[in-house]
Amino acid sequence: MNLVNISEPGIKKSSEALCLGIDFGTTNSVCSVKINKKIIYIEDFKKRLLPSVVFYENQKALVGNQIKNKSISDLIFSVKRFFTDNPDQIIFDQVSAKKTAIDVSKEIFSYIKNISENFLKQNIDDCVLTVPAYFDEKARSGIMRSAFLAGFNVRRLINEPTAAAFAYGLEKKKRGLFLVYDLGGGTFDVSLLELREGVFRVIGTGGDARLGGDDFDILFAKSILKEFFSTNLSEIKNDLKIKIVKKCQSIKENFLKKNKILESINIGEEERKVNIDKELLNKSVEEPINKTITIVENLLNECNVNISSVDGLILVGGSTRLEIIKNKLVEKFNINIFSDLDPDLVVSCGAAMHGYELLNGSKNLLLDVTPLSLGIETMGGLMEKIIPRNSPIPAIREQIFTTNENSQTSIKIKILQGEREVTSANNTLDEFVLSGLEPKPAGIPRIKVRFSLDVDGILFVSAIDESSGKENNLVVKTNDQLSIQEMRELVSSSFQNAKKDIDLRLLIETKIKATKLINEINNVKPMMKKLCSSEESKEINNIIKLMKVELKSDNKDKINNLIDDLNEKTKNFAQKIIDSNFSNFVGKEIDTMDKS
Amino acid sequence: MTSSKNCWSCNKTIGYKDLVCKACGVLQKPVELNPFDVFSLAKKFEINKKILEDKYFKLQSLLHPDKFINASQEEKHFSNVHTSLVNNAFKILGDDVSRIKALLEYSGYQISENESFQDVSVLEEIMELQNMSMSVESESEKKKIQSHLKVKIKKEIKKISQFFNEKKYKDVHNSCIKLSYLQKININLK
Repeated sequence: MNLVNISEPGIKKSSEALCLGIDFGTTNSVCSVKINKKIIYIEDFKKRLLPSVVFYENQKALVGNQIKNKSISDLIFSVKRFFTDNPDQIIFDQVSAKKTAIDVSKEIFSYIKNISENFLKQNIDDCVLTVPAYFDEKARSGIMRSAFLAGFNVRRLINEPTAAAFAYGLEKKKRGLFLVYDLGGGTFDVSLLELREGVFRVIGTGGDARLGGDDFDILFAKSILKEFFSTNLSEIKNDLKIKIVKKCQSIKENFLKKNKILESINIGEEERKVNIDKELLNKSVEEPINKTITIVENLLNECNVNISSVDGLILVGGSTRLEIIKNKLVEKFNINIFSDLDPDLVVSCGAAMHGYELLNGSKNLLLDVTPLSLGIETMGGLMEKIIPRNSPIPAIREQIFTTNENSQTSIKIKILQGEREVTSANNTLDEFVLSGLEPKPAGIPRIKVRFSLDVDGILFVSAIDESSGKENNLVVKTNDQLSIQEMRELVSSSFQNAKKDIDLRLLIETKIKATKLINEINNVKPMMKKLCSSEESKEINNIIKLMKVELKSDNKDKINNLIDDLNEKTKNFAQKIIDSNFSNFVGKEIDTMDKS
Repeated sequence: MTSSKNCWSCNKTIGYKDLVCKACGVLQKPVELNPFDVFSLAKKFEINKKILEDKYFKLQSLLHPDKFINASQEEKHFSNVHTSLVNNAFKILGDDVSRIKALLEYSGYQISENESFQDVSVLEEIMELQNMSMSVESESEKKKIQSHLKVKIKKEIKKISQFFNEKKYKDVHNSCIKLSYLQKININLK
């Protein structure tokens, strides 16, 4: 590679702006940049994969390949997993230092920045970061914050499967459905992407946060020990166990080129030369691979997509190099497989390509959508969706809300993310209070809530009281957070629970309707004596009493019947109010009554 | 309607609907437009989806924040708002029901949210279809209902088109309600 020529200081060969494409992975991170029409991978100790591992030594952080001969128990692994949980929680707690997931990731980003600048021999601040498609608001803004803290100017966040598709140039096609099968060291993710009119939509995601290539190594080690030494891995001491698994990992990698391998293996008491056949590897990893295939099938079922309408499957993640995976996928799905690009590097490559186009201009367009619906809580604990799932971003939506009680002077805006009808089943991102409203009858104030979701998927919310101009706003930040598994369940359970949710919604709406009606009648009660006969008043009051009892139950039909009764009985009364020239006296309450 | 405005950056006089200043090339402040005007399309019910998509693409490649990555804060902000407006307008025009509502609004017809739908025969028809689709058991049965729905939807769209031509907006609205029910059943069936 002619790297030095390109980037030697002082000899600026082109006026291209450089932008790193960073794939911040659970196990390994990869970083690349597009220069002179070529993708260059940043190397660290001559390796393209940087283990996403941090070790703190007297306040100083060592990262990735820098770490040598340290006990595993002192290392911080898989920091990415904490982002879907809560990026601000302390994950490393020692007398010398307390570190959050954001702090630890910041060390990795700083290190990436450092090695990139050394490698390219020039300063570089711009980057495009990739994140899993299921990452929500808080995880996205958390990861962006740690990169910012490391001195990066994050130009864009894009979804990992979208980056992989971009690396294969699929955005140039007009339409199609694609599966992205991402099997890394410790996690398995599968996404279904729909490409339509140049917009990538993530239709659905599935996976297993605890299944990856590391499991393959352990299973393979177990098979070898059983086959040649008739012993169990669990009977071997810890230190040696790690050595054996590492050895099996390298044998596994050698099987990419060979079918038979002669290798000497040491299990403590004895060392023996054994002749291993590739079939042994294939057999030992068959079970987890079948598991991934089931997960793919479930995703297709959940999205209601037939495999025959999928145009291709992209392989991502180092573990997908195993031939048996490709063979099994073809055998099962009979599908066109994209595997020409290095599966370890493809996500970073797509990010670097996109970064280059961002800074240097391009005809290509990469349009993304929001993976989960965003909205606020309304009366009775229901979620009102303001930006529905799969809306192209950026998206700005406004909706008018009103008060629920008379003389309400403040309103709580609770921001939610998820697909369910009921607030409690969704994820609460944040909340704030808009106070100082002028006291007015229920239903009169107009509160404009504005959701602005920017192109990186970061949300800004504002609420404004249209009459007073009072405003409150915030950028959604972190709080307690959902786990990866919960994220996935959120989407699938919204289908399963749809019926239950709708029933519950109808019940809650009925109750609100009834309560409103009672309030409205109470508002005009002073006139009841003047306008209604004592018999009419009595009847109306009786229904209200019954209704109040029924409101404590969950009998929707009964409440509905009472609403009809009450409407019927008050018809006369309402007409009289309108007829008589009391409109000035009661003012706005009549407005509310007419509307209902 | 105003036909011209001044560029916020260089103050030259330019067209009211111009997105970019012809003189200095700077992105203009978004103005409120009807979804049809966003794409400079005739305010008609019939729409050529292919043309709409092409126009959507052209606008996105002109306005998307990715194209303003090195621009001033103002332009970045305008690009964000512009793209959101284009996304919203595309969604409205791409969907039959929301396009009808936008056109009704433009024609001056008031859609009252609280008005309940009274046509009992239509409601009965919808209920029956709903029950049929809920109790569907086999794939062939599902296909049968789907094709049945397809015919009904097509018929309703034809009716709406005619009502629009005759400026019978009340009828458009009623048909539109029926259409939205039919489409909901169709989606739930999938």
